Amino acid sequence: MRLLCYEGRKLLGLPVLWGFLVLCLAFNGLLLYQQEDLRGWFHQGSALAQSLGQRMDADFVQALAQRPRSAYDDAVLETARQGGNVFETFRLERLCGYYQNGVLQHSPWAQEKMEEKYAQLALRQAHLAETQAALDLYAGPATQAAHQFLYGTLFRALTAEGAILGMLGSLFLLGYEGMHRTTLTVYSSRTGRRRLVLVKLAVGALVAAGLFLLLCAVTLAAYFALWDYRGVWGASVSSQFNYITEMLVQRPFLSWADFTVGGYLVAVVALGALFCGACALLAGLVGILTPNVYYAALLLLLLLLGGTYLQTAAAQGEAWQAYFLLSFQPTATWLNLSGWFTELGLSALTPWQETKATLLCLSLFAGGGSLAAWAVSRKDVR
Amino acid sequence: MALSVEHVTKRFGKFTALEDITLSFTPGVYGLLAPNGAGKTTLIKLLTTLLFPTQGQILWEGEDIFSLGEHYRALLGYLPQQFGYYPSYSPRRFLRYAAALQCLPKAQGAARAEELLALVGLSEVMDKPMKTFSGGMLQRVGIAQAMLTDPAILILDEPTAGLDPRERVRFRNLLHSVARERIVILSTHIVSDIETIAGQIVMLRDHRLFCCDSPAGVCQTFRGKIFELPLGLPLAPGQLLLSQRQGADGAVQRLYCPEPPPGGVAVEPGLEDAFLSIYREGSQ
Repeated sequence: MRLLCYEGRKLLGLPVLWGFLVLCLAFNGLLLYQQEDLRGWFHQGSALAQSLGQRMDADFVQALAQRPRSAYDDAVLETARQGGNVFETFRLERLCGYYQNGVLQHSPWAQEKMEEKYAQLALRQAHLAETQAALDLYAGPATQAAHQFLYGTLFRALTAEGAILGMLGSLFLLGYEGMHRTTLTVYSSRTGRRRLVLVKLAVGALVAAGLFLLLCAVTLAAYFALWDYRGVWGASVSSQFNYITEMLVQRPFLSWADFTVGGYLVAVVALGALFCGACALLAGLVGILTPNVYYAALLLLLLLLGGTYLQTAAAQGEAWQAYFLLSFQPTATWLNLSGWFTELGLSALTPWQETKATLLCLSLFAGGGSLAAWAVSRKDVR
Repeated sequence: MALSVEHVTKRFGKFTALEDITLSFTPGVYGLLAPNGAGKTTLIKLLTTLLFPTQGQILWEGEDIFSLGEHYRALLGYLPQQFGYYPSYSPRRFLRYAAALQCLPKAQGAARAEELLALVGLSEVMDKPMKTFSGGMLQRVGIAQAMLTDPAILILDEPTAGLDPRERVRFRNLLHSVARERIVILSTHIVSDIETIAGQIVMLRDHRLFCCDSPAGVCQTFRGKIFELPLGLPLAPGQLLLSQRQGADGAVQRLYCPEPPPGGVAVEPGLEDAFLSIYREGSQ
């Protein structure tokens, strides 16, 4: 524990790290500065939900109809009067068929996997139809754009920043002894090189997750100061106003569990922290296996970009097994952020893909790091 | 308490750094004396588990040191040739970190750090950042970190490199005070560092063990082979010029010569004569 603190302090004592953090926050501030019109619409939705409640039932429609008219209320009223439950009418088999008969038509294996995924999703659709989650207002007509702004833009930036900070932090920690010529002293100590490298890996991952949470805390504090969520927290994210578009096909927000807006936010923050930890572990693994931190940084960049390129190439070459295998890599998980905990279309082979991929990466990189640390303890220190 | 090196060979690719070294260390001060590049640091890195032998084994109390792992490293105090440090750390903070690496309990580590900093004369500056320290002060911090666990084996690699004469003397005195009841292995190519404090001299030549003997024993080998002649006389074949000095009757040259040279005066060989003779022979 004491060593964890010492190694953590080495990293947190680095001025560049805090400088980078401030730059990230400034960038996030710029992102927050935009979307003024959307914010206005969102506030109307939140205020409406505060006065009439979230569920758009008969009482809601009646109460809404009696209010002074506004363009926003009219848009909500029109949807509410239709009274449709999108989960009762959405044709999931058509969505599945769209992939099976389209890009996956030459791959029986991929078709079968898609069939399995959508069979499980059908159960979720039935459940969401039963709970009438679609009848929640969320933020009304502003919902989709606001949701996409928060998760597709802001959280994508936050996780990228956390992951980059974590990866650079891990590499810095692993190169720290070489930089200060303390390698011989620390490696010949009772702790030894294997345990010390493991401590550094753990610290890298913990600091990455911690910095991500810090970035989230500051950025979201500013976000929620600007965006009024008071009437929105308890809404279902599967409101019919929320939807996802992938490969030009629009589908409702079919989540793998019942999420309120607040619950979804907590889940994304939690998974984001794990994701940043996994990225730091990956950097640590590369850092251990590479003799120089600069080479390690370069290799890491190549791995991340190369993996994305390979996935695209696999799709173009219809090598679907390789494509889906590569969809478990960190960059693919990051790119899917705006649809986390939903079916993710062609980007996912299995339910909860982003969660499974993140946990798999964490386990793989931690296991790989342990093996690499063991290998370090069997290697000459020159 | 015995540390034995048994037929150890270390190769780096095609380069043989050490060849079939067999040595035994018991409590006392060992001076590892050889010119640069002879394999001193390689031997030390083997003893500190930083390098693995290509052949042979190193045993502590009859057990392989690599199998003993952390139990062996817990007995070890090591000052590398280039003592690295964190410039922003104070000596106290650095020693506390080193104590954590040595798995000492927090309170014990803190107390030991203060005690050792007092011993090496750094109490006054124990909270100042080490980036402001001279080479000698840093070396003293290095000695203190090596002594943290009161180690049974203390290994110091070129500890006086970069120190001025006053600091070298201070270091020798310090070493005297900590050398009892433990194995101290002191690597150097500076003869004066060890001739007064080492009980045994280990010499390496051509990457092999040349001798392991007391300083007197090493010098004894050269008795009757070291001569002084007036400076300017030409050297005959087989004579090796060791050094020159200003004598009472003018400048003289000191020679190694298997047979007494004409006009030569036999002198008592010193460790430096032995060192120069051995390694000049080696270089020829």
